[in-house]
Amino acid sequence: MGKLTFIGLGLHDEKSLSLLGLEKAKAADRVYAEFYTNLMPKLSIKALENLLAKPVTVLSRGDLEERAEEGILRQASEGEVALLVPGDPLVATTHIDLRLRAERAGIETEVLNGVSIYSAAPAAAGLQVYKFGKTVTVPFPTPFYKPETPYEVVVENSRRGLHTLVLLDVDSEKGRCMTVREGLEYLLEVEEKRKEGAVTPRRLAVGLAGLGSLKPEVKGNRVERLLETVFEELPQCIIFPGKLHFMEAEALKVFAGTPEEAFR
Amino acid sequence: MPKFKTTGEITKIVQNLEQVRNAGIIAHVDHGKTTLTDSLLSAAGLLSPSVAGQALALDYLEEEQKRQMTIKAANISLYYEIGDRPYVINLIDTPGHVDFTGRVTRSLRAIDGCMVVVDAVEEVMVQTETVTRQSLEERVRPILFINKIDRLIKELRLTPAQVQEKLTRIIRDFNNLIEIYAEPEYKDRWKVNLAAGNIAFGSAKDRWGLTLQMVQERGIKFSDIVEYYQQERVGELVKIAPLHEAVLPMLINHVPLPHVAQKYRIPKIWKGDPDSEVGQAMINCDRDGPAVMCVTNVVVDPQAGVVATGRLFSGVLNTGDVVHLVGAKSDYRIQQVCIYMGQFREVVGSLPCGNIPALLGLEKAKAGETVSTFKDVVPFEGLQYISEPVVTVAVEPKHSKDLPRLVDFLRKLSIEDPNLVTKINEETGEYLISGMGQLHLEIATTWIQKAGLDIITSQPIILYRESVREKGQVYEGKSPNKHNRIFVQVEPLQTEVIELIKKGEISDYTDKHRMAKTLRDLGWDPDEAKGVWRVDEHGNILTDVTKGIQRLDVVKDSIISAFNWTMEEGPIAHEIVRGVKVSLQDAQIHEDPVHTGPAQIMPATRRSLYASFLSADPVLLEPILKVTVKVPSEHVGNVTKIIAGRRGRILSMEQKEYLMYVVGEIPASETFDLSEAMRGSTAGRAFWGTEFSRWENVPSSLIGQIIRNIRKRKGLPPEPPKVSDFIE
Ligand SMILES: Nc1nc2c(ncn2[C@@H]2O[C@H](COP(=O)(O)OP(=O)(O)OP(=O)(O)O)[C@@H](O)[C@H]2O)c(=O)[nH]1
Ligand SMILES: [Mg+2]
Repeated sequence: MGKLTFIGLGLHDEKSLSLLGLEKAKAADRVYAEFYTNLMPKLSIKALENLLAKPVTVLSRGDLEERAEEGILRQASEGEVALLVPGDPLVATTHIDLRLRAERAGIETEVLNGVSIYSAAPAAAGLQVYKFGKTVTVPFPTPFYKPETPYEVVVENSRRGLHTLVLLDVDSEKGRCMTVREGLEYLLEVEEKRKEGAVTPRRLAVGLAGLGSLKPEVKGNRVERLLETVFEELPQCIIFPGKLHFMEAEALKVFAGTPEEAFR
Repeated sequence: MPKFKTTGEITKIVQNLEQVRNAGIIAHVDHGKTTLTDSLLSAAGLLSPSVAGQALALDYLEEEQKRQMTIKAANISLYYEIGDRPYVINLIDTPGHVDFTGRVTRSLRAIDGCMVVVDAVEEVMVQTETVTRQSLEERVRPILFINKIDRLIKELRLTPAQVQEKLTRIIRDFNNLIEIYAEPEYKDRWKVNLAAGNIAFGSAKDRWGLTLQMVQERGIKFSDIVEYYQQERVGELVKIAPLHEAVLPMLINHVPLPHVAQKYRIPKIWKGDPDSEVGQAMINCDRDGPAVMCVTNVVVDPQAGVVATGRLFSGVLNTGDVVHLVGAKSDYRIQQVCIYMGQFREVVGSLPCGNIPALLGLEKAKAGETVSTFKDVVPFEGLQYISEPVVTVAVEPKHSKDLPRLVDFLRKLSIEDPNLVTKINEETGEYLISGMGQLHLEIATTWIQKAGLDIITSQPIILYRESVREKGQVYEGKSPNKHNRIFVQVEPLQTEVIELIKKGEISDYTDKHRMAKTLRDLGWDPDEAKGVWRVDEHGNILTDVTKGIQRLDVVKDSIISAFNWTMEEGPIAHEIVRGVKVSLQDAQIHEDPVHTGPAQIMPATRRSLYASFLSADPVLLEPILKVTVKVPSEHVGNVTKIIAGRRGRILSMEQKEYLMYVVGEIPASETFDLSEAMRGSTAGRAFWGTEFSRWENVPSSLIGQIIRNIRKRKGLPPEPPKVSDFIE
């Protein structure tokens, strides 16, 4: 009987892998990895293979979404397969679907958690996780698709005084990540149209990059100032703080270098 | 002699609409429209002194001259004085060949009256009927010119009594068309008769013409005309009865005045609310209203660029005005407002409604476009095409370096003639040009060659349509990422609804309430009628019958795009889909917008749609052409044999004088060698023509092979897919 083990790679490079994850991956018959649900530019497959002392096959979106039955699931029905994924597995809907299909096919599944953006981002900014509302991703806009949902989510959370974690799209095929600046521009454009006041140039926001590394970039400021702020690492994300607890306000100043005037 | 007038003088005249007429010339192919137009142009064409110095020769398209056929509807203006009152007549010459019927319809929108030219030898023919019907549908008043009288005398050697008899019959047949096709209130008012002066006859080639009034005033008898010819004194006839003296007063007296015609034409040809501000402005031809113009003709001029000509129904257009192109959804600044002087364009800077301006600078304009200073104007949508593209050829440059130029040229062709559809076949890299018939395509390919491009052209290919006969089942379509599910149902669209779409009565621009009411009256469920998202030009409708679905707004555009994509490529053979209703029954959409983009939603929709389509008793439809033949009785047997031998059938046969009139139907796929067959078996004595008639199910004995052939040509696996290919 086979087995499929989902192993979270965490956020930064191959060293974000947990010891248990390392052990499990070493013991597996086949090791796969995917980087389309998120990108890990600092991770080197070579280094990962050295660490595991075995080859790692990188799967595409199609391999997992459309051809799983004839690929990874077939392997997993015959032996032990490890799937390394960025961040924390099963946070991406794709992994839930894959796990469901595996279970339905009688394949045992296991999940080893990794560091997730859902805890890393609030923590880096010093914001309390239980005060976050719905999370949303800003997709790369195209002439045919530019949904206003991200903006609506910020509006909704802000009305209720909640923080919003805004994730930024990655295009794994082109190896492209949306930047804080692009994300803000997207939202400002919707603001222009909707004028509900949720993402104005003067609103306080936090830009984050390089989470999971030793030197994460975390900068709080007004949207208009964040637009000019340079973030080196990828991927990036944004937080729109809602109503602040005094300790959160303090943390934003200390951890995120938020200037005093940005709170007004 | 052309009339020398300055642009200033003409601009002044056209301010007073009492002195302006917008007219057209329509006819069956070869009945003499162009000859007539040319004769009028040389007798009464306008010429500004500045142009007069330059080349005066008419600038023909070489192609046109070679084929002796008019390819483009040309705009010209003529000048005539009655008493000392000057008139400007805008005249549009249209092609008569059925393959270009789209162009005829478009020109009709710009004009208020038209002269139907009938060849006295051939009499009323199939396209005479088509174009007269079309003009009546646009509330354009037809008057009659019976041409080629010289042939009755010289070739048929008819006696004066026989000539008169023939004229009487043509007039009767023509009035019969008005009786059949005119709306009740115009049936009697618009019939023609000699005494009323709305009939003229003559010879466009020899340049003489007569109305009853001229016959009486100038004391000319039929026997005199016959004599002039017999004694070869036609020159004298031309002196006492010049063509333009018959035709131009007739146009001035019987073509309705622009502002008068707009009162009853606008409610018919414009689908917006007649009581709205724009509606009233157009109905009243109001100069102070917003500018609204319907573009009826676009050419790409090597010097001036895109030239958009059309009818300005309200307001005033000035050089420098910023106007909105409703179809292209973009704004442009008018670089120049021009007027036609004879066959030349002259810059005038400004023109008021009721006239026919030519605008420069509207880069994205296509024929049929609505140009307005009022952004939300309901467009003069889908001009009513009687014909649809039914034949395609693939073209390929002989030298691959020519490819960019070919692409460019094809783009230009499709701007000038929106009935030519150009498309790239991704797999083979071929360029496909589709048109309304063989000749249409031949002309397009000749133009390409004339532009100095060596091309290889494939055999013509018939375009089929895919449709369904029953209501299909609802199948779930999953997105590739499995996070979204779309459920649609496919069923046949009623013939009445398809008709309404084809006539432009309902379209994407129709007011939602009006559309819902129209559809409810045809028995639609109120939710279905209210939920229409898209009406496509092929005759298909997408409607949303779901209630309270979360995030549907985020994916609506993707579902519509998937619908459009699927209607262009049906499941059976990737042919265009016709006559289906697709209803969105349910949708489950992922929370995060990053998972619900077009790359996910479009395939999901397409899968559900294909699966439902295949469960709905799918069919392949083939274009059927109506063929009309006039042939001496002794050859009738051969003609009916030709028709019957091509899976055709005879609809009617009627003896008229010494000719038999045969009307039949033949599938377009069987018409490629029709010309040779007709010529061969009637010793060239048959007058005949074809035009698109309708779509018909492909007989079951042929369908399998036809589908396999199409699929093979398109590089698809030989057998069509099954429902199970699209669901899990
Ligand atoms: N004998 C004679 N021939 C004519 C007369 N008028 C036109 N023709 C000829 O008929 C042919 C067709 O004339 P066109 O003016 O090109 O006809 P059309 O209606 O413009 O044709 P399309 O634009 O192709 O539909 C030409 O060969 C003309 O010379 C006429 O009054 N008498
Ligand atoms: Mg012509």
